Amino acid sequence: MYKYILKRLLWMIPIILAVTIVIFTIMYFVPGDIAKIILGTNASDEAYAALRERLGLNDPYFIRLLNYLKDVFLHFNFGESVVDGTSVTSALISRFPATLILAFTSILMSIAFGIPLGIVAAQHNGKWQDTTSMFIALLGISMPGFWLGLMLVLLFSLHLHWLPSTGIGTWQHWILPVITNGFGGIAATARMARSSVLEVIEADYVTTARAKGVSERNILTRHILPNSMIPVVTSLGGSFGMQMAGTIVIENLFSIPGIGQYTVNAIGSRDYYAVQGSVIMLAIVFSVVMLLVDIIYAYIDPRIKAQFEGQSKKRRVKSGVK
Amino acid sequence: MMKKVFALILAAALCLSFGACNSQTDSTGNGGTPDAGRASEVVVGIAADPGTLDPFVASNTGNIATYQTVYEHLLYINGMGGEPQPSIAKSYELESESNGQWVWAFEINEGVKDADGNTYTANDVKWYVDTIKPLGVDANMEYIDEIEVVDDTHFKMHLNASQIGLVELLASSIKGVVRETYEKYGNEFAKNPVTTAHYQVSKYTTGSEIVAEKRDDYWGENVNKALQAKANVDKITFKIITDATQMDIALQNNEVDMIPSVASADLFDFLNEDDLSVKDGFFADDYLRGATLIMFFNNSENNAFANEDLRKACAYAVDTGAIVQNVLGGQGTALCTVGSECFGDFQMDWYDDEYYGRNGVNLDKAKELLTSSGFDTSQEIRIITETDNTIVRVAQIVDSYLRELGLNPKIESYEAALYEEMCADPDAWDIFIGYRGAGDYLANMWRWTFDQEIRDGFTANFVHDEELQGYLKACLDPNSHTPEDMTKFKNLLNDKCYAYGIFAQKMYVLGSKKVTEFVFAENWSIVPGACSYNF
Repeated sequence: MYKYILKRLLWMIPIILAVTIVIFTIMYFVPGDIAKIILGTNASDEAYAALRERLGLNDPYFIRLLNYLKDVFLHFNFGESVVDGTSVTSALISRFPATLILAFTSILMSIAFGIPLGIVAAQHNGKWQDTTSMFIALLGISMPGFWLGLMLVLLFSLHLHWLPSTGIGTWQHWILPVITNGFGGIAATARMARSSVLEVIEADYVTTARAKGVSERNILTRHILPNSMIPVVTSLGGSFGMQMAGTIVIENLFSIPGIGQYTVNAIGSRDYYAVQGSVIMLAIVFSVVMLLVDIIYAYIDPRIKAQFEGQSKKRRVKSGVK
Repeated sequence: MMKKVFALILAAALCLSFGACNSQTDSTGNGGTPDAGRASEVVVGIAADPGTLDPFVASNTGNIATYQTVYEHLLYINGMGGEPQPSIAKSYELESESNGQWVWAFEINEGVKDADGNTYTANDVKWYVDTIKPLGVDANMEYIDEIEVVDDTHFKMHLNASQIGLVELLASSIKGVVRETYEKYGNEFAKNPVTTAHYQVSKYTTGSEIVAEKRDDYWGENVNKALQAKANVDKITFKIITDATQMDIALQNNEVDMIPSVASADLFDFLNEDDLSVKDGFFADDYLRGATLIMFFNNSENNAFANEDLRKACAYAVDTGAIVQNVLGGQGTALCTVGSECFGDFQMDWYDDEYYGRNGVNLDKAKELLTSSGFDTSQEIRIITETDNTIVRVAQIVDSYLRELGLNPKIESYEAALYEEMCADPDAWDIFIGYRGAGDYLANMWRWTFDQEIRDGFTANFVHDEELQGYLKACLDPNSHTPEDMTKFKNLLNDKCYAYGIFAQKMYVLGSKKVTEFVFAENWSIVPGACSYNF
């Protein structure tokens, strides 16, 4: 198992390298003159040219790529923002917690509310509990996040004055963004859990367990859940990675200084190093999350754990080690 | 079953307790009422994070809003086209002018100190200019050849140009930063700058807020007479709110005390329906935005719009007054040339002159000119714009007017970075619609748009006209910057119709009932510390 984890960690290096080269190349070819963005329309052609020269934008592609790869992989430096000169690494580190909070709480909500909702729906398939749960799920998936967020702000901030409308500062500031961000996740997880549990609930071993007189609770926790959670875990893992990259709308709406907002602003202002740094960081996060998902598989499903351990045993047998 | 019911009750109680918790919504109201020993505070909503508070970066939306508080300048300019206000600099005058060199002599106030107690001298001015020039982040610095230090409180600014308002523009961008202090703090300076200003940054949370507090040891108390140097509040918090709707809600909710610029379209939450007066509990001031919306015709050699009759035909077909009503709800002015009355050197009698479709479409005249141009009306006309809601709406109305004329327009919208690239390509467009504006003088706005020396003999829309260039030079020279010269340029520009002015938008600054007067520096950037309050 540990070897598997180590192998996956080592595989991350070429993956991150490939991502770095791809994103660098894309940004290199994206049209748009950053000198004009920085200086505006009230500058001479000489001023634009001088700024481009100072920013190193006139260097050939391979020179720029090699310099960037050297900085990232040897010095762990994502460079400086071409717009305001701040360290991209520092900016990402300072913004990472805000996005992590949003993504993590969204996943927690999905687990805490989405999975039980899906289980209830599956257990009462075709009845009012199923219909109600799926209606809630449909609402969650259908409502755009920015609309839901604004409605919550209008109600709880503007009319009731219960909660602040924007920003971060106290834990009350996080309530509306977390609910806005998490509601869609609850809906998606509920639907995924329902369909996954429905597949398992009719299985022979569940029927056998019932026939043996096992309590419904034990059937659920020992037989149904472990076998139905694999797709849900996969979905949550992918969702977490997407959340880290995609809470842009929520961050902009609630003025949360997260990575999504930083990346979008950087793209608009052709801040090459900021965009590249953001994408690389997200690639690293995604890779780590997928690794964690695979580890969780092993703990949920003993067959997968045995598969990992079986591969190790096979290698030891082949090499003559007992 | 009982366990489930109990769990539900607990969950409901948790939700209710979240809602009943006292939040930050009251903080500005309570904090802003000074009792004995309690500091006064104002919260300003700003739309973007400056990213850094370093003095050697280019202007952006975030730092324009905050730098007037965080930094002092050699002098200030009141609003747009207003009088220069000496600040760190006590006085300045033109000392000599010869062989393409203008020398301005400045005197700095004695005893200018930053919050660390270090004295600001002429050497710091020289250091500032020498540092920022090679960075290329302030295009105007290229006009300074040298800062010559005479002594601690005197220096000479050697300029290689003399456009009207140039020295004031430069002096209002030179910040009060002492070299010794800047070098002492290094990278930390960008987060908590230590400056000569009346306010010092005490906290900067990236992407969230910037807090500045009044200094008790400010050097300029009773010395610095600039309006913008006053400090009428103890603490200013700049709260970053990126969404425009949320900004309005924050003001209504008392989470912020002022919003520096609100487009007219978002105003109606704060105005009474019947008479459009400001609702009780709010305070408003308005100004005409310096950046005006212009329709530029592509005058490059191979483009159809190199034909004067075609340009005029389009101008007669577009009713800019109707655009102001439809797009801005009447909160703006239809232009009578390229540029608006917000500039000090604009002449109000220009409004008396006929200006194409300003007062209504003249379709007969437009069709007559279209016919005489010989333009093939089946040919597509590419109109490019930025992806700005207002500009796109204007483009759609222009599109419909041109179709009524019998033309075949097509709108292409691009995001800002790509838009600038497209505008610079003579083969990429026929008409572009965009904002243009600069500084405090109309002549300077014309310069950045129509000065052919800046772009290898052509204007921003590829005009090459030596007569126009000659008139422009006369407008820019402080010695010949007369109403007559301005009118000559305006008349030629209008006659040739190289570009067609659409509108200048009215912008509003909104405040809570706490605010009684707004104070502005150049380009209508608000100075919260100097505003008047009723706590």
